[in-house]
Amino acid sequence: MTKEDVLIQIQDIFKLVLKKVDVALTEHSTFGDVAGWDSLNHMIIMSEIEKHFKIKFNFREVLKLKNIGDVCNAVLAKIE
Amino acid sequence: MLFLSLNFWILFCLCFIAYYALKAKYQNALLLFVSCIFIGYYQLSFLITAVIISLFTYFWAQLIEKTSNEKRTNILYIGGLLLLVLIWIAFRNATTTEGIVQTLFPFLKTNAAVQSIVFPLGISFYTFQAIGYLTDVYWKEQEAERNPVNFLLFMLFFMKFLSGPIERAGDLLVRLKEDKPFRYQSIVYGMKLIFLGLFKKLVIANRIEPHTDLMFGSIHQLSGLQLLMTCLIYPIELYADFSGYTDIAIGGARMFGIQLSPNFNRPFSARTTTEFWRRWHMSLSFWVRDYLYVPLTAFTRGWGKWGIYSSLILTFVVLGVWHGVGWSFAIYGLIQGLLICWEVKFSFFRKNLKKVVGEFGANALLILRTYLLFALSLIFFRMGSISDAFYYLRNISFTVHDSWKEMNIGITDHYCLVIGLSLLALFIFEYFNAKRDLLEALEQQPAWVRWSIYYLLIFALFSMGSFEAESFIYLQF
Amino acid sequence: MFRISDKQHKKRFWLKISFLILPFLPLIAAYFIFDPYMVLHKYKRFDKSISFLNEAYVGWQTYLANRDSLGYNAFIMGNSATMAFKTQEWEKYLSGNRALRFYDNAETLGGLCQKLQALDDVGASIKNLLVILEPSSFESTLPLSGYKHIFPSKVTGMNEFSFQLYFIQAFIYPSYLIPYMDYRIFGKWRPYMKGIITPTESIREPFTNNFINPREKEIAQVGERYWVNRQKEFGLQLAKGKELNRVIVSKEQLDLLHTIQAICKKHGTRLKIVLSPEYHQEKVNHQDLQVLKSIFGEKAVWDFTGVNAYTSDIHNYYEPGHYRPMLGARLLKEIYCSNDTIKPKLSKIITQ
Repeated sequence: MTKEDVLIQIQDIFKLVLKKVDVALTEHSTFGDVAGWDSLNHMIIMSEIEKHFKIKFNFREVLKLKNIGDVCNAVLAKIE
Repeated sequence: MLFLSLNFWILFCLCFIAYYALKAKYQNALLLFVSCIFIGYYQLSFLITAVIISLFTYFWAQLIEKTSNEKRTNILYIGGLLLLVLIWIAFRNATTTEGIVQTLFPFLKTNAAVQSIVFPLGISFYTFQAIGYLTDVYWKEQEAERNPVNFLLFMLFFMKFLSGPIERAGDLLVRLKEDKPFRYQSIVYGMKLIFLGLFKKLVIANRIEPHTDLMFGSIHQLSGLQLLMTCLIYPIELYADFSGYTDIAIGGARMFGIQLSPNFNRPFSARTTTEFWRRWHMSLSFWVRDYLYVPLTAFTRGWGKWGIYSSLILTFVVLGVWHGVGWSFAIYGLIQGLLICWEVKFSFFRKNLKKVVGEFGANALLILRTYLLFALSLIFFRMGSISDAFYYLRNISFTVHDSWKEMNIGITDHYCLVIGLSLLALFIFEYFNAKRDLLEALEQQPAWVRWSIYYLLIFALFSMGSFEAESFIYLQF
Repeated sequence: MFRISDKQHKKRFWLKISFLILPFLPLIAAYFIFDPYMVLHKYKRFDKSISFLNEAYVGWQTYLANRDSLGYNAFIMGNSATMAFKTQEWEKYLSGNRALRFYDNAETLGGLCQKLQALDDVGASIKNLLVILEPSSFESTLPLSGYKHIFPSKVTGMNEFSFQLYFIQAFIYPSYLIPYMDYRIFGKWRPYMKGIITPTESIREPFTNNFINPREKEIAQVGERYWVNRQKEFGLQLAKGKELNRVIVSKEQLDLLHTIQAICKKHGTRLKIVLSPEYHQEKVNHQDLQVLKSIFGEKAVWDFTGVNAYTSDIHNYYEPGHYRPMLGARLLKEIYCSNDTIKPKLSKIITQ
């Protein structure tokens, strides 16, 4: 799986959780870049990503994720 | 010394003159020296407490950073964190602490120092700053500071010592290390901000405070209307007081070439409680978000929405308790948490409201609703006792003892007009300031416009400002 | 080059600061030259002032400046209704005491206690004390604030600069500054100066601080027409003895009352508290009256509120809030010539 594949799948998860169809993510996307993505639902999104990719981040790992690029890298690291 | 005292302004002016006369490498040391005078002026013990906590944090962070063993790092971090929290709680609950100390060390019974434990000024603010700093170092997001002068200044800087903003090492420590030459624009901007802060504090907050104090101090003698009006006006007083102080702090720091974080962003334009807490006392709410709420949600992310709800409630209860000991403060925080949970759960309600009354109508109603809910929750914050708070809430009504004039809660007609017009001017200023920095824009105006505004503001301050109320509400934290 | 530019910036900055402060300097200078509130310098007498003064300050300074030469040991304290009680009239009942009117407009319980404590602190002799108040005076446990009421800095612990700042601020406020400078320059009293500049030469007797009410002169000139012309000001007596709500309800109020009692006991003071015969005939709450009597004694508290012979005669009053010295003299006679028996109740209590 490439980073782009991971990004697309994460984008779908965002669309599902935020109930929006027009979510466009890049590696540099972070809070404030996407309407509705804030501290109130960030961890729900992270949890859905874990479930989708069947991985588990530890406490420190999940706190370190600051943007989508970090998330993609972390997911890829867990999958491999 | 408080910002509204002659002593403070003399110290500030002397510091300002010396600051720009000295070489750059001595500037931070001068600010630290002045900060020590500022803090020690109240009581030497306040300075000693602040310095001890700061030095402990300084060395402990370096220890955490040096330790390579993860388990040991965790123990050091948790130990340091617990100690800071325990110290803060101990001072917060001085009476209980005194009892515990006397039980453990009976020979200290006659020691006057034990019997006079005083809650050190500013401790809530710099303790949280210390906890944030230790956590950033532990999370490896911040390198431990090696320069004691810079670090102590980060913790004790007099312009933000009393009541924040609560700063992050990644922001303030970095700025403290930058060159700070004499920048005319920056200094003049800082002065304008100070005057704005003084305007809010002297003309609005200080005019309202004696009356709300009197009302809150005698709730059993008030009519329903007086209770209602006091409740409605208190958030305004709190905002003018605290944001006024913050403007003075940020403006004063700016005059030394140091940028502090903003603390308020037009909170009464918030349409939800969630939005409100992103605009009110921002440095505190962002602190609890980053160091408490986010870790809690990370821990409970497997619980779905219930993880969010429980994290929100716990975070805001802590935020409430940060303000004071007692169930009423916890309830104040709990109300905020519950409101936000409600908004998360029932967001469709707001979307449907827009469809029914249009966007403008919906915004107006939501803004009003948010304000009213905040005003009601502040009763718990202000009364300090649950029974008084419930009495207050039960008796809010439109009934009067004698006449409708009671709604002025003792403020004369003249000052009702002064406060009303000043508030209107302030809200208009803040509205346009959000679109474009008006203080900077003022610099582009012709000299006669600028100087007219300066003289008008100084005259308004001097003639309409109340210099009587020397307290600042958030000083007690 | 950077250093020269830096210096120029600094010069420009300090020049602008001077420019900013400049227009206010003449105003500050005028304040120091004229001393309009008579608080900058020490004075023995305050009867020559052209503007209305801080009465608490005047009473206190009059006492301090003349205590050695005149030996004050009796004080009329309370609110502006004390204008009805002339020191000379009161001294008739005091066997050789020297009285001073030491009051404040709208005096509160807190303010009264503050003044008594100040007297006690400077070792004053308080042989007789006449306190003139109304029921609402007991509500506030705090002294009044603002330049018209604040007590001198030495007593309150406020620093001198903060104290003066109140007056400087009041001075430069347009509603004071304009009438004051107008009168200073043109020497002519105009109606818009009411409440700022005194309309007659003197409204105060030096050394006793008795009030010289210009309305007494007006009454002498126009007679009955005085009350006919002021019918609207007086209004109707609608209360008809209706009992007021309790005001003495808190521990803080009781503490202050006990403090006053303790000071009086310490000085062996002969205390009389007068609840003024207010024109609108509202009756003091019976529980408040009971509290006062239980603390100060039955013979010390004199209730003239409600419906009685005094409040039923409009000729006793200048206006609803203030009564004339002729009524004050009658009240003094009743208080001091009553053989110390408890005064029979004249007034009715009407409750709804």
